[in-house]
Amino acid sequence: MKHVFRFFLFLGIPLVLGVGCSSSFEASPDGTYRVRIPVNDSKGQYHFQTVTLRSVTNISSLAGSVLSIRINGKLVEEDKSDGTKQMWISDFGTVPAAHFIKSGDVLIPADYRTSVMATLVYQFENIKDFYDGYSANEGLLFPRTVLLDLSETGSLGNEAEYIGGLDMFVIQPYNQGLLPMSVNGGILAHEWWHSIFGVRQNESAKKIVRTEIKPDSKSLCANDLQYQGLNEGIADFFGYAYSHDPDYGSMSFKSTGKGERDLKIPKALAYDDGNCQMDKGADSKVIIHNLGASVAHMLFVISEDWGIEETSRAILNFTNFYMDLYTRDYDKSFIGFKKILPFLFENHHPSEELCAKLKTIVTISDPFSGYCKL
Amino acid sequence: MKVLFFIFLLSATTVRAEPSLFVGPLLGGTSYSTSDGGLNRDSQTSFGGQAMYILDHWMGGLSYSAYSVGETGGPSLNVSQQNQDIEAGIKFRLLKEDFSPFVGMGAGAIFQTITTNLYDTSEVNTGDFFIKDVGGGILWRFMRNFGASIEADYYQYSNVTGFKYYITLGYFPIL
Repeated sequence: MKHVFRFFLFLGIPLVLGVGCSSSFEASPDGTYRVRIPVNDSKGQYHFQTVTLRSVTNISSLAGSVLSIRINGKLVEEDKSDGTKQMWISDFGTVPAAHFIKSGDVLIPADYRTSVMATLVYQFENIKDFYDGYSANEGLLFPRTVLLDLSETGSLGNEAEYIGGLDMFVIQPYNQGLLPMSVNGGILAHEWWHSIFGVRQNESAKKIVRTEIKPDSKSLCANDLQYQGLNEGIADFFGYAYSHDPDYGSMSFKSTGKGERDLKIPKALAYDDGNCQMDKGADSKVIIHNLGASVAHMLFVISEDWGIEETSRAILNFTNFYMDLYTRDYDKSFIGFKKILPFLFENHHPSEELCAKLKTIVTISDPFSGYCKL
Repeated sequence: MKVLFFIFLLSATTVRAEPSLFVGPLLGGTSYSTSDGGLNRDSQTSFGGQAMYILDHWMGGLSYSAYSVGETGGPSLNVSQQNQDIEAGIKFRLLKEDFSPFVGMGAGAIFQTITTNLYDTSEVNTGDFFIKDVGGGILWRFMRNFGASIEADYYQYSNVTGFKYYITLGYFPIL
């Protein structure tokens, strides 16, 4: 009999322990989950915070009404016979399986990937709210899709981008040792703007009946440069407006030039000649980002006078006008900054003090069409 | 559900005479499904110990194993994981010989300690799950007081699945 007792004693102890364990991750009665993740505070600094995920419907895949994540996809780049490159996504990856432990009613990510994904969901929920505040999400389809850790042939990784053709965000594997891009709220808000910009262009294209059929390649190239530069600059600004950190990029990217993406660092906005510098063999990415950095700094200076909210509203108003103009004229003639910058001040005229500040940045002659006599 | 599982383990047990005990350290590996989704798995070395009470065809066992998943992520944000798994198992020996294959199942608790580092800040949290497994192996009593077992189990807890495989060099004390 004592052997029977010993036998079951062996079995009993761990089983009792196991039965007492928690294993379910049920949502709160209101359908939310509390998680502990790295999140930026109002000064742009990242700390552990216990936050609520409001949109998740499947805690294992972290899928929900705002975001759907796919992981470990593949982007292929090939040289075509005509010398150009062709890129496509050969593998959209798999649905993740997030691992958490439960501490009280708070879910703790049990591995790095889960920590990143949970933060991504939280940031996307808040970024959606942020842009909803300006009614800017109109036309976007939800849930948004992120291809996380998408590997790309020949790429060193460390890039985040929005791919308009797929209406998906791509975040490549990150190995720079700083704050992962997928956690960096400023970078995510920046990329989100690109999707808004793309949708607005599509909306404008639907409205406008085009008549011109003979494209002017020089104007097309110059307008494309300006379009992309504006897109980058406004995205940079909204990254700051969301994260409250004018140098949010440096949290994740090792700088290749002092203050190149820091909105506080003055950069002159001089491009207005309609020339396509890409014709001269310049790196288009560098030109676009430099132009974007100039635009972003100009917007930052305006926001110091008006505040972020008012500046953001002015930018969205400006974007609507610009999109219509761009969609109608992008291959006809160069749309100079002089034509579009005044739209920034249509609803809110700049003070003399602001004009004086802008004078040191914008070196184009009379760029604001009477709003500022520079 | 867990209680029913416990009752099933008890009811499935037939206890006979001539008992013996087998105790010893174990060394092996634990594979686990990663959060990457699909069937992606990583594997870590695990160690621990086990004791089995042997009665006729049946073995009632207790096992403990531990394994660590080192830091994943980068210098600014990384997460590491320590796991301790304590389980009871019941096994059926196909032969009542010194060398016999066996099949079995087990259940218990896995305790996880998660350390997350963000810049200079570190947080440690613990959690636990009910874990269950099924598997099989071979027990070989090659000397009167010494023997070895090799075993492989498929396990599941939370949304994690994987395999545990280990070898135990053990001692058969005279009862």
